[in-house]
Amino acid sequence: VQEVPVAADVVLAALLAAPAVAARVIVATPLAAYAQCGDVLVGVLAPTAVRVPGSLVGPPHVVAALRSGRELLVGDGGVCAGDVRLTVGRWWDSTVPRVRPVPVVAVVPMPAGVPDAVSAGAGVLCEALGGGGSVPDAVRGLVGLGPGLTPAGDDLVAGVLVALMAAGDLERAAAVLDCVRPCRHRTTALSAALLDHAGAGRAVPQLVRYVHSPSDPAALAGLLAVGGTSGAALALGAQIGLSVGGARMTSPADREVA
Amino acid sequence: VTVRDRVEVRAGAYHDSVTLLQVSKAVADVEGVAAAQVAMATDLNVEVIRRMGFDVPEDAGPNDLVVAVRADGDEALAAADAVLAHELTGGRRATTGGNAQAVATPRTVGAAASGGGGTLALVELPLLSPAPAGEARP
Repeated sequence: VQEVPVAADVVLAALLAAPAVAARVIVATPLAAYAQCGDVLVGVLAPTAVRVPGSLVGPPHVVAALRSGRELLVGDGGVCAGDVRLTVGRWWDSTVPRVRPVPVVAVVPMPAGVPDAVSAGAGVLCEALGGGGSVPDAVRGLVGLGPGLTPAGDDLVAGVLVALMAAGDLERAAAVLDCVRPCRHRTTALSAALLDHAGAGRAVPQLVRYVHSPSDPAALAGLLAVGGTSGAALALGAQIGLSVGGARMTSPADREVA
Repeated sequence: VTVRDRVEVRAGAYHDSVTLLQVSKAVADVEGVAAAQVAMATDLNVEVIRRMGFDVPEDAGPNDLVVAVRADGDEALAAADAVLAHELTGGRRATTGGNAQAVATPRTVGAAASGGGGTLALVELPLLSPAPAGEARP
């Protein structure tokens, strides 16, 4: 068996330390593979892929060999894929740190290509979070909306969740998450897993950076470069989350103008 | 001319949103094609496609790709198929290899060294101010 060191998200620590269980690759792209392991989706990413929460980062040739349907063993300290054993050489953390003071953000126009329905749904969700409508209806109208593997509607909701968590608005974050859970089956397995991570305050590094520095053009540019429409939808969601999450703060000291 | 609808469900086919939006548009632009939609078969996407008048199989699930094309006759449908195949395999786009995520900046020197074909490295070091008397420099 060939031992291959990888870098793993700390959220996987308990799963990897537990007795090994079977997993199956359900999504495979040239730079990433995602294996269903019970209720958990474990990612195996090439170093050049965006660092998705709940993933291991390993050599590209190992990732490329993980085709859809491939059986893996996850646990006992690593991940076994045939005669290759991925063992954790170092850890990283996808958790979004609390942002304080909560920045005031300007809503940027959605880049072209994002479905109009998602932009419209963003407005509905923003209004609902401010008390002007039904949050469950708004979330249900977004989860699974958009053509790709991670629909833009999901990305938008994920951005809202992460920003609310980062802003410390746990009450609204929990309310949104309660609406997301019944909708998990309405979207792709990968996107449902990323929504779970967002609800727990975990995100890709580009979103973490943006939530903490929304006025930094480089942070926005970095986020917009993620995926096809994912970065744009995440950015819009984060703007909504920060504006709503920041608005609950009553002390001027808790806010800053970005 | 007989209007032909074709709805196909493909398992294990993954593409990012921009790719699928562009594919849908390219197929819809084919002469004789009245409507086209290519998307993951999530509940909301299936609702949209059904509202367009297509009959999406009940067993299509969110992890499947659904291709729906309406064309004026077999010839237009065949032309749509050809454009679809071309676009889904890369088409005119600069592709990241079908990955759902953008390529990230290398996070370590090792990753940067192994990831590109560069032959020149620039290493930037912070300018150290003179250490106060009695203190060692790091």
